[in-house]
Formats: sequence, C-alpha cells, structure tokens
Amino acid sequence: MTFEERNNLVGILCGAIMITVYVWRITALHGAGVFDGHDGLMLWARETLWLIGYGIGLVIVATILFSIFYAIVTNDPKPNMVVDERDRMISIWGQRVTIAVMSVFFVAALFALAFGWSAFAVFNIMLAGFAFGDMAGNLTKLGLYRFWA
Amino acid sequence: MGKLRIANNIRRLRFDAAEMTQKDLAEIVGVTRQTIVAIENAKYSPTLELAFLIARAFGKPLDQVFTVDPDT
Repeated sequence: MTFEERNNLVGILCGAIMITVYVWRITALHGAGVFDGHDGLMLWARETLWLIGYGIGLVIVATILFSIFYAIVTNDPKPNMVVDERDRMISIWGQRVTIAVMSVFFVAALFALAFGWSAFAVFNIMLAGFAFGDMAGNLTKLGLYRFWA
Repeated sequence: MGKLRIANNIRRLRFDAAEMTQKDLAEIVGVTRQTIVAIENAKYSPTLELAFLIARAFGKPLDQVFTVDPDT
C-alpha cells in the first residue's frame, strides 16, 4: 500500500465518521429547535465550523496512528512515503469526481432555494455536497489504486 | 487517431539485471513499487521523463525498453 493510498483510506474512514457525527449532532440540535430562531443560521455556522475543526484534527491524528499501525503490521520501521506521477494522476481523477458530485449538490441547492426551501436546508445541501463529493472522490481513488495496477 | 498500446520489456530486463526486484527499480527511479507493477502489466503508461529514467536504470535506449504493440 502506497503512502497516498494509506492517506486515502484514512480520508474515507474519517469522512464516514465525520458525516455520521455531523448528521447525528445537527439532527439532534434541529429537533430541539436550536436553529429555529432568527440567529439559527449563525448557530448552525458556529456548530459546523467546530465540527470542521474536529474533522481536521481527527484526520491528522488518524493519519499518524495509521502510519504507526501500518509500520507495525508490515514490520517496516520506515514505510515508503514516495508520491509519484501515478499518485498525482489518480488524485486528479478523484478531484474530477469530487467536483462533479459537488456541482450536482450545488444545483440541487439552487433548485431547493428556487422552490422556497429554507436557507438552513439549502446550506445543509451544499455542505452535504462537499462531504459526499469528498467521499466519492476518495472512493474513486481507492478503486483506482486497487484495480489500476 | 486510435490509442496506441505501449508494451515493455521491464520484467525481462530486471531479470537480466541480476534479478533486480520491482522495489529496487522503484527506488532507483523514484516511484512506488505499485507504479512499476502497473507499468509492467501495461496498465499504466509512464510519462516520457519516467520512461527515460527506467531506460537509464537498465542502461538501455528507450526503444529497447518500451515498444508500440504492433496490433494497435
């Protein structure tokens, strides 16, 4: 498993965890009516910013722990950290998928706005676009790493 | 214009070069072992720069390492 492939796997696991935590947290707060007031969007934005911060921290910690775990499992104290042209090519394909998914969600958000959905719902659709776009890009990269060899 | 299929003799050249491993070749040219595997299996066509590096690692001209599949 290459360095970038390991990072990709960590990205998928962390992405899945963060989507689960986000949905659980925002659903609970929304159910409690936290976002119903005139400052609802402000509270939602603060909550989302905190979760993004936790997500970045989670990825950093998970990457370090996974590297240590991988070194122990493969009995290789100096795992390869080379990033080459094939990694970059795979990364570009992943980014294409990410942008495509994000674009679909963005258009969906525009439609939602056009049909009178609330700003809260529209922002969440756009955020979901980022999250699922990233996930789709990472899954594409994983597929290419596994089957393009 | 149809897509050309690039074949290569890397496996044989490695064998001739004192059974050089894929990992050894990867380290010489500065890529991952998985990239060498993909190139050997003709699943990935390297850039011109990497192709020259691989040829140089074997001390051969480029056309003795990479060839165009005549059926394409």
